[in-house]
Amino acid sequence: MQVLYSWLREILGDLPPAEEVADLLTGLGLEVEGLHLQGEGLRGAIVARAADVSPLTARLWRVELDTGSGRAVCVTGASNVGRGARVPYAPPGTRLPDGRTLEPAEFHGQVSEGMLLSADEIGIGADHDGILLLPQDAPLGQDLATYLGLPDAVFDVSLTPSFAQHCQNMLGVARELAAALGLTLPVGPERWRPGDGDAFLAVRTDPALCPLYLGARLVREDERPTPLQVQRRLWAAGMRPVLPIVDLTNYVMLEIGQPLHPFAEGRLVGAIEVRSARPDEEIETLDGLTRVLEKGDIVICDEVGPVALAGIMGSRRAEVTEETSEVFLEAALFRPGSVGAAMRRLGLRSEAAQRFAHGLPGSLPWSALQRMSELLPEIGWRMLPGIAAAGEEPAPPPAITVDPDYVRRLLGIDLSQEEQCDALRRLGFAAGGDRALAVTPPYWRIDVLEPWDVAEEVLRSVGIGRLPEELPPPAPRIAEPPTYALRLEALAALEALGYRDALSYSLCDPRELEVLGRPAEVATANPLAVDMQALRTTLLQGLLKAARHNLAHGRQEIALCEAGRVFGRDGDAVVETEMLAAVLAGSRLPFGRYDAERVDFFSLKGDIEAALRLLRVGDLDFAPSQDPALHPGRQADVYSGGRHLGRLGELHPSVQRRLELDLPVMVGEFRLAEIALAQMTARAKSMPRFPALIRDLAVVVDQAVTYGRLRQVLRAALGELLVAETLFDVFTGSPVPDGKKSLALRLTLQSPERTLTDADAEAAIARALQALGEHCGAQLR
Amino acid sequence: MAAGSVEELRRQALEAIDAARDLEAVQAARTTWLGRKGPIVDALRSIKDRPPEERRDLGLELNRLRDELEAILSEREGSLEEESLRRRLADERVDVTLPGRPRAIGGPHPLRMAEAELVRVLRKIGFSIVEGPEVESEYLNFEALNIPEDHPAREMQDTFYLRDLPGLLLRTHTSPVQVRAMRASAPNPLRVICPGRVYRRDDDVTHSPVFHQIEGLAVGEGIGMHHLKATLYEFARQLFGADVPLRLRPSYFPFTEPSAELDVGCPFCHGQGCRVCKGSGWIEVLGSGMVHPHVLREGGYDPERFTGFAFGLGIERTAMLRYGIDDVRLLYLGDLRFLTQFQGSEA
Repeated sequence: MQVLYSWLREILGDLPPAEEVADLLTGLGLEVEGLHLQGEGLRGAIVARAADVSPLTARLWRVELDTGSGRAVCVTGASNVGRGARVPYAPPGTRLPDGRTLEPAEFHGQVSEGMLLSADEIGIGADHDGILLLPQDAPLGQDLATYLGLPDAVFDVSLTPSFAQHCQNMLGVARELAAALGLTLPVGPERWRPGDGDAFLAVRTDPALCPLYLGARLVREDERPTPLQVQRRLWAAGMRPVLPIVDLTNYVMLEIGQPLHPFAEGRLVGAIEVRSARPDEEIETLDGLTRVLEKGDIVICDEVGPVALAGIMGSRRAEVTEETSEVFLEAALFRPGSVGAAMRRLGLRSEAAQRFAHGLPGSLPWSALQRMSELLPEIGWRMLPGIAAAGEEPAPPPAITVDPDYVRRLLGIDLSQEEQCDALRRLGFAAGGDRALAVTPPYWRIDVLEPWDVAEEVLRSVGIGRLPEELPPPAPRIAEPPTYALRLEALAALEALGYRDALSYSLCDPRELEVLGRPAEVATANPLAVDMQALRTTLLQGLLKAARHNLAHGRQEIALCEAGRVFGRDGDAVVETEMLAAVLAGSRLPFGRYDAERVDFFSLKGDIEAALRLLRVGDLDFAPSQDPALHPGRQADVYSGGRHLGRLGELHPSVQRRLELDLPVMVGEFRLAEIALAQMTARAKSMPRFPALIRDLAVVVDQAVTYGRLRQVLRAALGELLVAETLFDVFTGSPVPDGKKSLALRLTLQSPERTLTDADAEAAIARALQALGEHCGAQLR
Repeated sequence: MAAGSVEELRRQALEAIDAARDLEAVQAARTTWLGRKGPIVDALRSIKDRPPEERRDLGLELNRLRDELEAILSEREGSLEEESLRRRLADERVDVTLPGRPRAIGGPHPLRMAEAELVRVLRKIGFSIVEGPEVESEYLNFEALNIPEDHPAREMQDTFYLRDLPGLLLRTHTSPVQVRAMRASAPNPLRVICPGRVYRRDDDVTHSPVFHQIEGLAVGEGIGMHHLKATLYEFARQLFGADVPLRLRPSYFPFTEPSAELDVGCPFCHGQGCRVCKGSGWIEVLGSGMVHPHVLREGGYDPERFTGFAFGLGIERTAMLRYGIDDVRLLYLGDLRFLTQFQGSEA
């Protein structure tokens, strides 16, 4: 919300400088996010009178100016300057707020001595279509900045919902500031007394939706423009002046917070009714759009149908125009939740709706009518006696009983009962009582209902700076979820092996999950974009996207990892599973003097083995798997002690192509919970006491026989005697027959009980060969 | 053999040793002159054939000659070995400015680094980690946190709902974990932090639809706002330095009352006003407040007896401030040019 310094000063009198006011407001909870000086830097412009206006071309006018002390000629493209108008004139040499210095210019042979200024050029408004027309009593020749009171500060105040109810208006902000400065609180306008008029129009309301509805009759007696002051304040608030009567209702809203709605009276047919919209009822709002309503939206209707979407926007049918000379002025209270819901659903965040949505004090419609009646003569209008009304003014919230000790304990500030009362009185509350505090909020604070609300007001009033600093007493620690530490430990293991942790969105394009054979199971109902529709079922989607991004930027060394959750579905429940994933492609090292080895299946496998060892997971088994997203011959399920940890493999070439990856990519993904269950506790074993024997063995087997199977047979045959086996060669081709391969292993044999002899070793090898021959068809090479 | 012959032997030996130019020749000379079949051993062996009166002197002379030759040979060997080592080392000299054998190094994400630091500091102050689901019930995400259906605060957090799963949503903050933690611990005193992923329908330079928060909660008897202040100040000092200017500013959150935001003096301009702090000299770090009685009740604590404080901050924001990152989207691209910046540069 934009707050004009000069407006606050008008309400409160003398104020400290703008910067200090900004700090005070921030300290109260009205955070000033920006401070802007209107018209800063404007020098040399003056008030002048258009003595004569004549066309120069079809689009330019020649304006002869009377500056009070002389004459000047200006060329302008604006068509709103009539003869006799008072205008802001910037003679050559004038400095404008945007930093320009004016020089004489020539248009179609006519020298323009400077220019006439729009509100935008002066820095007070967004309107740059026309010249700012000054009141007829503006003194000729006076310095324009002085006349307009420039520079003026505008505070950009960020309103939290707690302030939106009572500070979405200048009076509210002024009250807060008055409390901070110890000034008398401005109370606001009296209630309007309608006098002895008749109830000129019948009104019915649904009290649940509209507890109070007031209507007053306004008539135009004279045509006068919107006062410059009012225009400036509307501009500062980001609103556009339109018609004097409309501008004035907006002005009162900005001033005291009550939105008002003017209907062109001649357009209303018969009695007024406030009711819930019927399903699919339609209304053409002032912005020209036809809105489809829902039950629960509040509408103002006449006998023909809806004439306004209550509290949000009026309709075209009853719109006030320049011809309107009689107005039915609405001042009402609407159910905040209904206005808020309709505002959000329709995306119609009008100034009125943003105020109604937070609730208004019960007496405010009366005050607003009073304020209007005071201001109307300035634009040549008058409020007639008499009122059309329905409903009842809601009672103000009841007094609150507060234990002063509760306030002391909650805040941790040692405040006596009297100090607490004083603090509350500064904010306009009535407070007193012997033992417990009896607190009555002022009429404008309908949001203070509970003891903790009162404690908050006490804190704001004494200032948050009064809080002492004391660390809380210690509390026992609770057991932390093991996944948290494991996730970081698992990432650290991969990072130590050269992988870079890359976080990706958990929302993604469902098509990318399908390509990976892991279709989405959970999707958002209101996605932000197609590519953020589904909750990921695999971390690989994000990592492959990152891989593609890096390849596209010329990087050939891809090693990425991520730990995070994937989302599945079990009936009506969503299952979140913690995963760990790695993607490897290209080379390990950039081009250079040393080997830039291309990675393959075994590169990733080795990394995973190493990472799992770092995580104290041993006893690994790899079994061929059948994942359609992976290369059919280069993928494996990973087990530890029979527990399925996850899978790794090379991306299927067609999947790789569909993901627009231009080189083979290795991927692996593992369940963190399974890794946790497979972790061994670190434990020291006694060192072997007897020497080991080393024997090399080469066997020839069918191509189809896996090393895993061979190893299994070997281990079974030799039992605990075999402490390690190392595969050091796999060979095919002559002299090994076609369809066969030779595998060479180095075996480490050791007994925990005695020193092995050569004879022991030979016997073991013979045993091994026999088993390998029997189960794998192996022959000694 | 006469004494003169010993002298002759010595002359010949010295001549031969002198002629040995390299280690091999010296070693050969040693074998020739001092070996078991050499002339000195030979002469010593034949002493017994000499008349007894000569034996003693001849023995002494021969032994002296052997010791002398031994010393000379050792000295020659030593210097020749040294010479050869010197030559080898000279040959082995490398250009130390050539690149080292490179190792591919990995590393953590800047967000994880920031999170780890926040967690480290908060644990030190006495908080324990708890976690909760990212798909949360609407009730725990909103109602239990004092944000009923048409509460204006729901506007502050544009929410992702789930298709075909009524009542569930992607949590918009880590605060529902507060309620879960309270329910698990009531009525015991509680000090927990909840780091995690959260979601909002928002996407621009400073807002990401997926981001991370860390939430802190302390509940117990006699917990007051002064405890909140001290905790936050301690936290900020640990994170930003002991003399960083700090201020609490009244604010609003539906689940706390009173509420306050913590600002720290802008570390970039030291309060002078810059682009990062938008000229204010202050940077907003976190939101906090005294746990709302409705929330305490939802968590199973009697608000008449128990009070508590809570605070929460965005980890992205902390990382962006700490590492000078100006676009939040960079954190989620997986761009290695970006990710590798947070350690020493690659050569």
